[in-house]
Amino acid sequence: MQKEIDVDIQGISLSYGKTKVLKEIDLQIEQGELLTLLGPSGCGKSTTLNIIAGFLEQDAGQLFIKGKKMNNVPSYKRDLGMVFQTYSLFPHMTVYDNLAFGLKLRKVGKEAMDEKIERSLKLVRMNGLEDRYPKELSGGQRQRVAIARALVVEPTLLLLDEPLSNLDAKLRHELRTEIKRMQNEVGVTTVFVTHDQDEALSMSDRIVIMNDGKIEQIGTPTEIYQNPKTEFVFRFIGSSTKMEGILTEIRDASYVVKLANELSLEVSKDNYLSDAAPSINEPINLYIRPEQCFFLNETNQNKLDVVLPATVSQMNYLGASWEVEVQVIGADQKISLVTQEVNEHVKVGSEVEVGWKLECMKISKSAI
Amino acid sequence: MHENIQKRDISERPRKRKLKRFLSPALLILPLLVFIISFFVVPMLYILYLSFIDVKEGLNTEGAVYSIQNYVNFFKDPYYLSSLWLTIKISIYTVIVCLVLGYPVALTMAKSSVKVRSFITLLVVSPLLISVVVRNFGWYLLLLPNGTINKVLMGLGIIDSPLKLLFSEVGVVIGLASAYLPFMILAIATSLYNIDPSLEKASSILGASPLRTFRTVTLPLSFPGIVAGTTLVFSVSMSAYVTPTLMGGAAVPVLPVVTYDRIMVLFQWTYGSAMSYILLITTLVIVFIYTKIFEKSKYGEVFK
Repeated sequence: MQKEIDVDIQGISLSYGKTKVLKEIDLQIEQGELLTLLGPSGCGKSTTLNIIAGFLEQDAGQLFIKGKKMNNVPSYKRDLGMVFQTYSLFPHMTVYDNLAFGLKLRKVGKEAMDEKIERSLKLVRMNGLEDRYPKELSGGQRQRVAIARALVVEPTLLLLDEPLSNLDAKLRHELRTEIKRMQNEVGVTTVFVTHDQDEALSMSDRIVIMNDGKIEQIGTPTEIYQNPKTEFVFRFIGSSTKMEGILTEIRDASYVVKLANELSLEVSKDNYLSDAAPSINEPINLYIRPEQCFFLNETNQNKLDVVLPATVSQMNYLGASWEVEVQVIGADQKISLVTQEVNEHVKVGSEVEVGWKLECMKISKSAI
Repeated sequence: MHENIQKRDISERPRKRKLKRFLSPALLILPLLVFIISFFVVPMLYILYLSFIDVKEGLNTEGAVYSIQNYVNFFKDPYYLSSLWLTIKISIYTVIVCLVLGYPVALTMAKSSVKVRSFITLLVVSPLLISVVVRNFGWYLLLLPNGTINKVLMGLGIIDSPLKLLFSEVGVVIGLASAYLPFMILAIATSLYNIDPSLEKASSILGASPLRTFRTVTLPLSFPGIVAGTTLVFSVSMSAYVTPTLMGGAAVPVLPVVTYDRIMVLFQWTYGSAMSYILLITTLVIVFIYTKIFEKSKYGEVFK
C-alpha cells in the first residue's frame, strides 16, 4: 500500500540577492516517517526547513502540507510543531505555561489542557517539573520540555532544527534515542535537520543529503552509507582514504586504474560515482573506507584482493576500537584502518601488510 | 631543603595572589572614588546636615538649633505640596510620552539590520549633541502663541485661537520628553536586542499571530528595558531645572525651580536643603515601589 504523502515540495527555489540557496528542490515526505535533511553548513537544509515552517517564502515552486497548498500561508496558520537549536522556551513562563501556550491559542478547555500537558510531559519524562522556570532546568531538560511543547498541540508535522547541537556528547546520545522513541510512540511525521551524520544515520527512516542547494541523494541510512550515488555523498558520510591513479583501460563492466606505485586495480563500473564516463589517461580518485581495510592474517589472506606492505605511522585508541594509519612502503600514500583488535606486534614503526576487497572500493573522476 | 621551598610556595602564594587580585581593581577605581566622595557624597551629607538646622536666612549656623522644623513647614504648606505633586505629575506625563513615542522606534531598531540600526541610533542620539538651552529656545519659537505650530493649526482651521503651549504644563512635558526620549529608546532597544529571535518563531509556529506574539512574548520580555527607561526618564524629569524654567516659567512651579528660588533668591539655604532632600526621597520611594510592583508581578521572572 502506498503511504500517504504529508509534505510535498515541488520545484522550490530561493535566492538571497544573487546567491541561489535552493535550486528547484523536489521532496516528498511520507506520513509518519522521520526524515533527516543532512548536509554541510550552507547547503540549504535549514532554508528548506524554514520554508516548510513558513518563516521564509520560496521564490518559485509549490509546497503542500497534508494536501493543502501552503504558499503565502503564515507560519501561525500552518499547525506545526518545531524544536529549535537554542531551546527557545519562553523564559517568563513556567514549564506548564510554556506547554499551555499553544493549547490556549487552540481554545482547549482547562481539564483537557491539564491532561494533555501531563501526557506530553510524561512522554518526555519531565512530569513533576510543571512549576519550574526554564532557567531552573538543565540544557537536556529544556530541550525535553521544548519537544513536549511542540508535541502537545498535536501538530501535523514536527520540525526539528538541529535540536541536539547545543548539548554535550553524552546527553546528545541519550536524547537521540529518546527522540526516536517519542517519534515512534506519537507517530508524527518529523523533519529533522542536522549536520551530524551519526545523528542522521542512527535516527532517520530516510536521509536527504543536500549540497549547494540541491538534493544529492535520498535514501535509507543503509542505502546512503553503502550505496552512495555521488562522490559528495560518499565523502560526506563516513571517512575514507583517497588514492590517486590514472585510467589505463576501459573494460565491459570495469575500469582498470593504475596507481602511482604501478599497481593496477580493476574496479567494477557499479562503483564509479561520477556522472560522466571517464576517458583513458584521465586522473581517477579511488576511495576505501577505514573499516573495510584489514591487517593481513591467516583467516583473511585469501579473501583480500589488494595487499600492500606498509609501516604503521600512527595509532589512536578509541576504546572500542583502534584507528591506525599506515604508510605504504614505496609510495607516498597513507591508509587509515579501523580495527577491533590489534595484535601485540603492531606498534608505531612496525611493518605490516594491509589489504581490502576490490568490490569495496569506490572510484570517481578527479575533479581537477 | 627542596621540601621546604615547596611548602612555603603553597602557603604564601594564595595570600599574595589574593592581595594582587584585590589591589589592581581597587587602584583602577580609586580616582573615581575620590572624585565621587569629594564632589558628591560630602556635599550631599552637608546639605542633609543643613536641612536639619532651623535658621531663617543664610548659612550662618552659629548657635543654630537642630530640628525637623524645615520638613514640618514643607508638609504644612499647601503651595509646596502642590509643587511636589506638580513635579510628580509632569514627570509621569513625560515618561508616558517618551514610552509611547519611544517603544515603536526601539522595536524598529531591534528588527532592522545592523546598518539601519546604527543609522537610527545616530539619529536618536543626535539631539543630545545640542545644548539643552539651544534646544529649548528652538521649541520656544515653535510653541509661541504666534509660533509655527499655532500658525499651522490655525491656518488648517483646526483651532480658532492659539493654544497655550508655552508657559504651561504641555510645554514643559514637550520640552522634557524631547530631551529624554533618547534614553528611553536606547534602554528599551537594548532589552529588545537581548530577546532570542527564535522565541518569536516559536510563538508563531505554536499558532500565535504577530500581534499576539508581541503581547505575550516580546512585550513582557522587554519589561526590563521599559523599567530601566521609565525610571531613568522619571528621575531626570523630577530633578529637571532648565526646561521647566524656560518652557514653564512662573506658570509651572516645579519643585527644583521653587527650591532654586528659595536658595538663590531668598537665601533660605536650610529650607532649600530640606526641599532638595524631600524631592530626592520622593523620587527614590516612587522608583522603588514602581520597580517592586514589576518584580512582584507575574512577569517577575523576566527580571531575574
